[in-house]
Amino acid sequence: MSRYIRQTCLAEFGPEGQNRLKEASVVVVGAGGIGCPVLQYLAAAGLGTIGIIDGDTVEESNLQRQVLFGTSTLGENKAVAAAGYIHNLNPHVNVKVHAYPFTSENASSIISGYDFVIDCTDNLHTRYLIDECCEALQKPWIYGAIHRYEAQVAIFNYHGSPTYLQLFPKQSIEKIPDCVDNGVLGVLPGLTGMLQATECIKLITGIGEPLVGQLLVFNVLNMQFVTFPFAVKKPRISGEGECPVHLLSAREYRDNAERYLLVDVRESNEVPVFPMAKRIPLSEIHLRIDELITDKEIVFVCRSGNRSRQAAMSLAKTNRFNQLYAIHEALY
Amino acid sequence: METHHRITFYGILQERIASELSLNVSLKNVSEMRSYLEENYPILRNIPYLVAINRTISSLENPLAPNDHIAILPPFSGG
Repeated sequence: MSRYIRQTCLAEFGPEGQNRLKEASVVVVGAGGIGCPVLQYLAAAGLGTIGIIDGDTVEESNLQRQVLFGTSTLGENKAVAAAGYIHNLNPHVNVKVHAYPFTSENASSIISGYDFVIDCTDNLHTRYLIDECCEALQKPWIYGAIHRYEAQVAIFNYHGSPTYLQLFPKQSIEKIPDCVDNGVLGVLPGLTGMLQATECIKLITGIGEPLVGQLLVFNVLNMQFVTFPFAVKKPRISGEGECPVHLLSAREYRDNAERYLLVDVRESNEVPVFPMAKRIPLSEIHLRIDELITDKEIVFVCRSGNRSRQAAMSLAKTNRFNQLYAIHEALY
Repeated sequence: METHHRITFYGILQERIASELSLNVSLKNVSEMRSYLEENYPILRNIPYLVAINRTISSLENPLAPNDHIAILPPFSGG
């Protein structure tokens, strides 16, 4: 399709990257200053399914930064107005409108329907809720937040990175001011959302090095961008008394590929075929365990990292292995 | 012997404490630094924050060396 030709002609992205976007689903929590550019660029890039959660209506003071809205959409619900914009930009995107506030009552049922969550909210309370839900449902989420001229971006619940709650324990009783209290230049949430959209596209397509295990902080007044890696160790994901399970990035696997027996746990009809992999669907993994007893380390792979992790965690209980590995993302 | 630590604050703490502080006190590790700061700047008792030493986010036991550059990072709220 000529719509996506300028990205599919990128060697690393290619038609396969486009297919991955088409198959993926992302929910954007908050269609405000950060959410607007996230929605705009993900829709333009050809995401398969995009959910929009927002219970607020468009006000005139939003228009300076919430670039999906205009004078004609004043007073409309933001999720509805954003869906209208996306429909015109790219009618191939399946848009799901959640035109109500994101609360502890509906959080799990909404998030469980999507692969990735993008946090575009304007308060800590909702971020703790996203964090809790995403941890329970094993969904990665991409954090973005701003304060005056500064912003933070990070990926949580991915590749064993610490949770938001582990980084910022919920001791806060002091309200941390938002854009309404503080003021904001429209470009700052714009930049923040574009960085989150970029990370989302990287996670889905498997290109590049995602911002995992680090907090990006930038300041638009002096244009300083600083990433702070977490020294926090990756938590063990297998249980007590079970063999350890290590999560690998695609690059970590490729750099030492000769050490591993690569086991593809996708169903036998899923493509692309990984030529170097042994194919054992997740449902047969216990029945065919003897095929995994070799001198090499066993590393599981699937489409996005969910089934590979499940395979490793399930076999970790068997006492047949010293350690197991799972590739936590798309291989290509 | 007194040790010198340079601290940069981010976000709301920049407005409520300072952009930068120089401390001339001997602090062995991150845990001691947190106690010292929370005693002198009570707002830190009510806001969660990360401590980065030389641009790496650190845990409580991480030791502090003279002239380490320390960053104090609260979460941001707006969006």
